[in-house]
Amino acid sequence: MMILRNGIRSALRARGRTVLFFSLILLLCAVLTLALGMWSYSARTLSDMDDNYTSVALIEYMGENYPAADMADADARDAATALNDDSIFKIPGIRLWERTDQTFAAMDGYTRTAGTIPYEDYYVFVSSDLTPMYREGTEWTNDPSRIPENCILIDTVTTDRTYYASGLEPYFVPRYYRIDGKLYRYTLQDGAVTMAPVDASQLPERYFLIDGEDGQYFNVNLTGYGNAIESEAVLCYYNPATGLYGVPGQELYAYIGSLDRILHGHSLKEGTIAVIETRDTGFVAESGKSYVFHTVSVDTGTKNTTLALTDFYDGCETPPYMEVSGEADPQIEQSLFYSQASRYALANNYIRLEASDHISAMECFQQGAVFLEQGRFPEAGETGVCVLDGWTAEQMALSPGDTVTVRLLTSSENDRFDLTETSDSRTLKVTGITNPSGDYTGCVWVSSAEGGFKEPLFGDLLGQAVLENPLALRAADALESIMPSGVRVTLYDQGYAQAAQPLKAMEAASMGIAAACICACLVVLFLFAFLFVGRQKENALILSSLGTPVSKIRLWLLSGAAVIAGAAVIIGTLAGNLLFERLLKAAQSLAQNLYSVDLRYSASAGAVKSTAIPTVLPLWVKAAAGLIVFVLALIMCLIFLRRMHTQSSPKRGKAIARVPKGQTTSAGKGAVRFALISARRGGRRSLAVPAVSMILTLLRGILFGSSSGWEHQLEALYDTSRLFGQVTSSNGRQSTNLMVSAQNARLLWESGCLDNIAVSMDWHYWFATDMPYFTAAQTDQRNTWISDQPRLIALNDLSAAPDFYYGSSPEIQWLDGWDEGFLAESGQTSVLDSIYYYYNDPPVMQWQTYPCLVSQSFLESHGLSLGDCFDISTRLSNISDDEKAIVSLTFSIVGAYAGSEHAGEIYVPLYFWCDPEWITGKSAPLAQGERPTADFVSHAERDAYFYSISTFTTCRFTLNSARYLDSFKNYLAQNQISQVGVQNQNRTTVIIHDEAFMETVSSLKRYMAFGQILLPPLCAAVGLLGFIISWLMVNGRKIELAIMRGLGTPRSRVFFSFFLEQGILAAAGAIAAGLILTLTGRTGFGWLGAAVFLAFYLAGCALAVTAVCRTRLLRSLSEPE
Amino acid sequence: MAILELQNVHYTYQNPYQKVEALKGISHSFDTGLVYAIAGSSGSGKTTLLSLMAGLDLPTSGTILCDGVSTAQMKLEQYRREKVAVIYQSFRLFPLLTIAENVMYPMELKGMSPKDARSRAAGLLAQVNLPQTVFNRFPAMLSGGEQQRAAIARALGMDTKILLADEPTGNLDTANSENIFSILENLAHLKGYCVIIVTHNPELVARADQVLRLQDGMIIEHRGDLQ
Repeated sequence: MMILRNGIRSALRARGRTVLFFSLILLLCAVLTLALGMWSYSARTLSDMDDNYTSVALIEYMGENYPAADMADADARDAATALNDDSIFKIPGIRLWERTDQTFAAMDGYTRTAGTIPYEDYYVFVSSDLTPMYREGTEWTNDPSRIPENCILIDTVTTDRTYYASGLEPYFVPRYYRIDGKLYRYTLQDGAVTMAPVDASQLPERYFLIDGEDGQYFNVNLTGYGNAIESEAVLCYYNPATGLYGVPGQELYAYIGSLDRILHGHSLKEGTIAVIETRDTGFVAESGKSYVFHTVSVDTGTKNTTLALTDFYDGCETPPYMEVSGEADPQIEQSLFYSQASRYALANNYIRLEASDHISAMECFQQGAVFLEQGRFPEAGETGVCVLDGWTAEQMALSPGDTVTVRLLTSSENDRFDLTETSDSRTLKVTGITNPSGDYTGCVWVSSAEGGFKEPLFGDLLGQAVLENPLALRAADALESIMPSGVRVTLYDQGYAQAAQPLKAMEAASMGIAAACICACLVVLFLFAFLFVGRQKENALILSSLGTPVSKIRLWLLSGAAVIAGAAVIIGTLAGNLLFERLLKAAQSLAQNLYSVDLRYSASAGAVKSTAIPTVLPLWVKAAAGLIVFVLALIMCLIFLRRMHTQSSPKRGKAIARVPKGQTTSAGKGAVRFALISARRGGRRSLAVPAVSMILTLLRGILFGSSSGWEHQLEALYDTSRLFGQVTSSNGRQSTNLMVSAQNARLLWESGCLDNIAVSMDWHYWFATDMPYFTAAQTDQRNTWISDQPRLIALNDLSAAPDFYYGSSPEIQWLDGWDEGFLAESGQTSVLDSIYYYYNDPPVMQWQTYPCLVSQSFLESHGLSLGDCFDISTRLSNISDDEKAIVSLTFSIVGAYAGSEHAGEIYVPLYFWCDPEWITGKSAPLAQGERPTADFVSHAERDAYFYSISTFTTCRFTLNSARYLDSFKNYLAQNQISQVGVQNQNRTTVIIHDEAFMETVSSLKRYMAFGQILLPPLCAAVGLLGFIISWLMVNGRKIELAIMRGLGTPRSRVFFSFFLEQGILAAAGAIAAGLILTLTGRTGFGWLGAAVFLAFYLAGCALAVTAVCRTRLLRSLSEPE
Repeated sequence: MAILELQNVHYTYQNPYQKVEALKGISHSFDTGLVYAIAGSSGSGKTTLLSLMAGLDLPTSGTILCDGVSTAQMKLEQYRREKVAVIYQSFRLFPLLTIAENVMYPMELKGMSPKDARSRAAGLLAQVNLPQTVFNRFPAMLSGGEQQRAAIARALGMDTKILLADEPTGNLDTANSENIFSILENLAHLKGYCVIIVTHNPELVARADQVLRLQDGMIIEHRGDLQ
């Protein structure tokens, strides 16, 4: 006890030393506690996040019809076949790869009420007592006398016109074309156009001439036919197939009847009265008879339920009506009506059965559209179990533990909803039930072991990969690189990247601080042990001389050091833990602001998961820093104890000290002479300083070099990166078939951050001769036909072409003198100029030939070559959906591309529709906030109007420089533009493909943060070390210093004698390190590191020499050596 | 005129816990050509007195006059460099300088070139009977007597008339003590130095020309010139 008490007392009584080291250890311990706590917190939170977040990559085919969940797409199937499973599995970071595995099934008692119901509008029913309904319209008659006096009679097959005028004989007006100055007789027969060349002399007296060059038309010698040629002329029709004339009159268009028996119908009940439109089926009801009908519900804008007779399917010979004896007529069950009704019922009430070994990672679960409300997911490989959607479970009163039986259906190759039953049925136990969701009703999820449905692929989703969160970005990149053309990878990481950024920065920073702290601890504890144990030799000798056992001497020496270190460690640890919460918040905010990268609008940021992950640090982490410091202190003390014991043990026959050989020298003068001599003869001391100097300079140089290298890399990255972005759908998956207003495209351009912006808009086109005849009542059929036609695409850059959006640029063969630049030309005549010609000056219609780019296969299939012209028709639906918007256009082929899936597309310059300067010009056609008028009377007003209604289907852009990225993101945010998963006021969603760039920037910034954190303490540590080493060196020689002063040496000379000596030694080490760094390629940083080290070291040295010089001379010289 | 004169010199050591008056009004004159011994028991103030005379500090009160000028009016560094030379009991030689370099040091301090200083140092070392073989050795390689002689040579190299010695033979055996004292005696008597020795050694005291005996910071006995 006495030993302990005195040991502690004697240590504590060295007050200055005790206070200094107590404070240093306390401070280091507190900082280390904070750093380790932060490190542990970051690492644990990242680990927890890894468990809570799921990153998936959706592999989708970006076809023309994307997104179309249940559509048969041969190209998508080809792409799926081209996928290589082995290559995908080999990509690091892929945890699971599954191809889309789903099928439809039937479940007894289930009625679908939401989601896609393919035949929801179809009704098959029996009706009787039909009452005819008439309206003003075309009445079909076989009586030619019903033809009015003044009319134009149109042949419905040939489209030839016969003019009827009062007092004149009907006159057939043939149609002629003038192309390249030559005349052609136009005839249409059996759907085929004939253009027979004719001489001008062969022209009849009256004819209709269309100029193939500019589209002007002339009615020749029709004067006298009065209003027959006026726009108000009555149009009549003649159908050569039926021999009927279509004349103005009462048109029978529908019947009113009750639905006596519904064979198929989704919402109407039996007994409902409905209007049954006959359309062009030719159905005429006989009074008192019953019929079975196949109809589709139509919206007429009236209160009446309207059902229109419709064909069963394309090419079906069976008419959609059949006379029956009554609702119980047995022939109904034998008929197509009955079988179709059953087919509709099966298709409408399908259950979607999806298989995966990671159901919770499936898009709907991963994106939070549905979530498990009860029970659990099936395990991978588990069979006979399933998860059911909440809506179905509610409808069928199912709960976990119940059993359901599903009968698998199979779809026909080209129609997902053309379903037939198979003999395969599954009995599944419900293990989990999701929340009810309208989009996911009738869904059953099973494990892959229960799957393997062998159904053909429908839709665009080819498969899904589950990724390891930290590697998700790279894995998605690697996936993208091996995808077939047209296939795109969409990464959904639930916001992991965004949430992990600050944590990773914090982790790196705290690692740096902890490393620096441990280094500082080693130095401080070394000195602590040296002073509190190593330099207590005198005490040890006294104790030893008094016969104190060695163990007690050790206890004496250790006790004081242990008490000081222990107390400092306890208080430091407590302080660190008390400050932890506050510091954590500050660090999070700092990391968020300084070191984490801005992932707004970035393709690498999925929707942010709002789940907060509380991380509680365990006690051992909180105490770890204290333990480390205390154990290190004890180890250092024990090392010095052992050293003291070794040194004090007598060694027989061994010299105690070695003395160097001397050689008097006259070299040098003054302080330099003394410094040089001392440095040269300093022995180990003269080696220690350069060695330490060299090591620290090397460390510093490497750190400087790395830090500066990172900065250079970052600069180079900013200089060389070309970042592009695009407008996309709100979920970030769709980049074509969008509706991007011209104003929003311009808004992006006006950021001033873009190098270019590429937009496209399209219309369907057809060759005039290809369009079948549709009657006025067949608007829907005609619209469907038009929408199936290839597209005419106006764009200012091929990168905006939907066809090349996800693939590589095509190889193009250009006509001499042409290149891609023609797409972006401005100041040309647009189609609007042609249509609204009456505003032109001079007021003539200026139809022009537009240059275009087509595919090689287009050329081949139409027998065309570069430089040829061809005519097509298109409906400019952005002007109107009616006939007025159908225009005939002539194109000249200036280029042909090879290798595209959609070989029929025609690419024309953007000026076809609008001047590219609408988007990129100095001023917009319509000022912000201004309202355009639809009754425009000038070019400016017309442009303003169409600018306001123009929408583009694709829009992509390239940033001027990666340096503009932040300002561009800020601009987007200021203008309330939406980002994926975050809807803002402006619903246009923008995504920037900066994943790889951001990942590199983020890594570099983390390194830089590490360097930034480590450099200041390192500088301070070097300064401190310089002071401590110099102090130790100089203090050990204070007698020499005193002798010098005793001999009357001026203070400055004393100072410089020692300062120069230390400087020479430190410089030697620093220069050596500088040379090493230079030789290893870190030229600038080697010398910079050396200079900085020297500066800090010498500053410490100067302080130390000054401090030692302040010692009272009298005492120094009086002290025994 | 005395070369060194103490006029009512007081010196007090002070710290937060105690105040010790080491010298209490010492007055005495020292002349050249004589050997002075300052004797006294431990704690009597003799080393303090020598330190003040060596210019390591200034008296708390009173005056020390050197050639009639008060040390308080001089730069102490200059005083130490030009007026007094001190020989310490533990020699106080630079451990990393050779014996010759140690002797050369004060000469170089005064601006002599290393070459000239070297040849003069060789003469001084020979004067204190050190063989040439030790010139290039470091102090640690020499015996105590040799080190003390080297210290004397360094003191001589300072070219001052006042030679202060603090227990110069304290760490030496009898033969070496005798040798050192003889050198100091010769320096006073033959070269005209004012040699002031602080010592316990009764033989040295007995051989000194004048003896000042101190007790509790005061001169209690002054024995005159035995010559």
